[in-house]
Amino acid sequence: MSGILSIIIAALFSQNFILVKFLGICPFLGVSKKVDSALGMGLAVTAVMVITCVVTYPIYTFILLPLGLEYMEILVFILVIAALVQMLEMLLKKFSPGLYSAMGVYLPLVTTNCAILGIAESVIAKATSAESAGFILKDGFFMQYSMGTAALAGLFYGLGFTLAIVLLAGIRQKVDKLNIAKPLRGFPITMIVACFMAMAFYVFTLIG
Amino acid sequence: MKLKRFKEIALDGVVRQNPTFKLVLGTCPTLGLTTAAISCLGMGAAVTFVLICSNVIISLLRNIIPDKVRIPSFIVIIATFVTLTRMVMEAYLPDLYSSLGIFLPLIVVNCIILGRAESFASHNPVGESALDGLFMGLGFTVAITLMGIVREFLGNASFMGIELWDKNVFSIGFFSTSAGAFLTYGLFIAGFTAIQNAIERKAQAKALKA
Amino acid sequence: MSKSSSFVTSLKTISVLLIICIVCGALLALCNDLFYIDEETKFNRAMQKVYPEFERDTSVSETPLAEFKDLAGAGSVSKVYRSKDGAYILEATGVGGYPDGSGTVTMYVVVGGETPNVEIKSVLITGNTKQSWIANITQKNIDKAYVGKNIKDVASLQMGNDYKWGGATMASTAIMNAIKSAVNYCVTALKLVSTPESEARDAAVALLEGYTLTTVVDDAYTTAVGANFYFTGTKDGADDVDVYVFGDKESGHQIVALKAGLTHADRMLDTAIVAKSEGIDNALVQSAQGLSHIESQIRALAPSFTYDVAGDLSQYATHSDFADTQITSAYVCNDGTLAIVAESTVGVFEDYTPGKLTMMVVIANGKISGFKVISYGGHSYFDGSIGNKNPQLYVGSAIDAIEYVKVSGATGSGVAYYNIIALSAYYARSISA
Repeated sequence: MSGILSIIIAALFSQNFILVKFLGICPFLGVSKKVDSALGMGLAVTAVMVITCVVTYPIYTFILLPLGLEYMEILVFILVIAALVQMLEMLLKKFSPGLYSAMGVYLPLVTTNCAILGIAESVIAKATSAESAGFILKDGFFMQYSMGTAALAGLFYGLGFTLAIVLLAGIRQKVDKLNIAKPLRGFPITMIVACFMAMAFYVFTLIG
Repeated sequence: MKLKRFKEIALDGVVRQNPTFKLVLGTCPTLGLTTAAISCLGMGAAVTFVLICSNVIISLLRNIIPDKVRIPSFIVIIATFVTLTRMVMEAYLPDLYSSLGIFLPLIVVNCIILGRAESFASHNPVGESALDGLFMGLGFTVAITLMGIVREFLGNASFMGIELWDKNVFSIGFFSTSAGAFLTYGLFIAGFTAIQNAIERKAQAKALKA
Repeated sequence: MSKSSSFVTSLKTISVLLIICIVCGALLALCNDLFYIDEETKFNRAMQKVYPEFERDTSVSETPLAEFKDLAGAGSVSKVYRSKDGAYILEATGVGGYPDGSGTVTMYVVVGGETPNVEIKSVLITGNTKQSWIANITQKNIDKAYVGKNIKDVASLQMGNDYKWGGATMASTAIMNAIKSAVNYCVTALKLVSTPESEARDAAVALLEGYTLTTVVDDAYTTAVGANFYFTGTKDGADDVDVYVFGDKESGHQIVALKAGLTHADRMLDTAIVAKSEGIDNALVQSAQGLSHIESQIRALAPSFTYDVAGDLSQYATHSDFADTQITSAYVCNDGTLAIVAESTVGVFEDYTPGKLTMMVVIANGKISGFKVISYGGHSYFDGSIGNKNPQLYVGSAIDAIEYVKVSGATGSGVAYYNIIALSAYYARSISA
C-alpha cells in the first residue's frame, strides 16, 4: 500500500517527469500557450503512457527478456509506441469524434515525446544484481515494478505531466501579455517561468 | 560553389539553425545532463554519431522508402544506431554509459535527429546530409557543453569533473538543481538571440550604408 | 487496373518497411554478439567504482548472516561482496539520522588489508532517507574521518567532534552507525581481526549456544560491576539474557549470563544465591567460573562475607497456615542476613489462576529487608503488582508481626506474596529459635 502511495507521490511531485526528470520538455514548451490545448496534450500523453506501460512491460518481461533480446528494447518500444499512437488516433476518430477533436490532434506529437519512451524504459524490470548495483550509483529512480504498478506509474506520471503543463499554460497566458525585453520573448521567458515552477517542485524532492 | 555550400551547411548547423539555442530541439538532455560538462560532451558525441549515420542511410534510401512509411522507417533506422551506440558505449565507456542514464536510449526521440531526417536528409544527396549531420551534431555538442561548463562551474565549483576548489567554500548549488537548469537554458537562449539580433542589425546597417 | 496497382504499391510499401526492420534487427543481433558484456563483468564494473581492484569472489555468501547483521543495534548490513584480493565491500545502512529515530544513510564500505592491519579503504554513500542536510558533509570529510583507520579502532568508536559535521549532526550519526555496522560485521562474522570485544563475544557465544549477542556500549552496569563487556542476547527472538564478560582471552574469560530484567549486577548477592538455588545450568549464571567470579567480586566488597545453606529445610519448609507454599532454599550470611527462596501456587482468586510465584526474601536484624521476584506465572495481575507496591508493603516489618495487607486490584497475587513472605518469616523465627 505504501509502495503504491509512494509511486503516486513520486509521479506527481517528487519525480515529476517535466520539472524534476526533464522528460517531455518539447511539448511542455511547445503546447503550453493555452490551458485548453495544454490539457488536451496532457491527457493525450497520459492515455498513451498508460497504454504504453501496459503493453511494453509484458513485451519486455515475457518476450524480450526470456529470449535474450534485451538489446532490441529501443527498437521494439519505439515501434510499438508509434503503432499504438496510430491505432489510438484511428479509434478515437471513429468512435469518439468529440474526444478526438479535444486531444486527437496532439496524438501524432506524442510518438516522439521523450516522456513516453522514458516511462517505458523506466518501468521495465532492471532486476539483475549488476544492473541494480549500477543504478544505486545513479539515482534510485529505477525501482522494481510489477505489471500493476507499471500501469499505475504510467497513469500518475502522465497526470504529473498534465499537472505541470497545465500550470505552465495558466501562467503563460498571463505572462505573454506582458511587455518583456525582446530577446527574452518566447522560449526564454517560458524557461524562466518553468524555473520558478521547478523551484516549487524541488521542495517535494526533499521530502520524497 | 562547393565550398559555398559547405560553408552554408556549417554555418546553419552551428550558428544560424543551432538546434539547441535557435530551434530549441532536443531540450530534454540539454536540461537533464548539463550538470556535468563531461557527460554533455559524451551526449554530444553520441547524438552527432547517430545524426551522421542516420542522415547518411536515410539519404541513401530516400528514393526507395515510400512516403507512407517514411516516419516508421526513419524511426527504425535511428533506433538501430542508438542501440548500436548504446552497445558500444556500454562495452567500452561504462562510466559515460551510466552517467547518461535514461537519456541515452532517449536519443531515439530526440527531435533534432528525426527533424533533420525529415527536413534535410530525405531530399538531399549523401555528402551534404553527412555534413549536415556533422554540423548539427557539432552545434548541439557545443551548445550543451557550454551550458554544462557554466552550470558545473557555478553549481559544483569544478571544470570537466576536476574540482577547482572546495564547493563548500563557494558554489551556487541552485545551478545544480532542476530550477537552475531551466534558468540557465532560458538565459542562454536569450543571450544567443540578443547577440544574433545585434549582428543582424549591424549587417543591415552596413547594407543600408552601402 | 488501378486497384491492383494500389495493391502492388502497398505491398511494396510494407515490404520495404519489413526489409528495413529485418536488416536493422540482423545488424543489431550481429553487433550484440560483438559487444556483449556478461552480467559478471557489468557487476564488477559497477563495483569497481566503489573499489577499483574489485573482482567478485562468489565462493562466499553475499547475503549477510542474520545474527550478525545488526550488531551495533543502530544499523544493518544488507550485502557482503568479497573481492578476489581479500577485500570486502559491504552495503550497510545506518539509522539515527532523524530525531524520531527514522532517517537512514545507505553506503558501501570497503574493508581490506592483511590481518591485523585491516582498515577502511573507502566509503561511498549511495542513498539516504530524510537527510536534507547531508550535502553539508563532503566526501573529503568522510574520507578524513574514516578512511585508513583500522577496523579494530572503528568498531568501538564513540561519537565525537571528529565525526560530527556542522549543520548535519544527525546525518553524521547515521553515517557513523552505518560504518560501525559494516565494521562490526567484519570483526564478528568475517573475523577479519580479533578485538577484545570479539574475543569476549566468541567465548560467550560458545557458552550460550544459539544466542545472538548485541553489544551494549558504555552501560552503567558494566562500570558498576567492573565487567569488561556487556551484551544483550536473544534466542529465537524471545529468550533475552544479559551477558557480562570479565577477564580477557589470556587470563580466561568469565561469563555471567542473567535473564534480562531478573537481576542486575548491582545485586550480585541475589545473583549468586539464585544461581546456587536454581542451579548453574538454569540460564542464570552459565558457568561455575562465572559464579566463582561473582563470589570473588562480593568478597572484594565485603572481605569477611561467606554464605551457607541455612537451617533444615525438611523441618520448616512448609506451614499449614500458608497453603501451597514452600521454601526451596535458604542461605545465611556471616552477618546473620538470611536469604530465603520460596515458591507459591496460591493466589487463585475467583476465576483466574496466576500460576507459580518464585521469590527471594531477604531478612536482616529480625526484619524483612528486601525481596526479589525471581519468576511468576506471567499473569497481568502480577505485572501490575510486581516489584512495586504489593511485596514492598512488607519491607521493614518485623518477622513476628507480618500482617496480611489486601491490595485491591491485586488480591490474588497479594495472597501469594503474603504467603511467601510470612512463610519466610516463620522459617527465620524457627531456625533462630
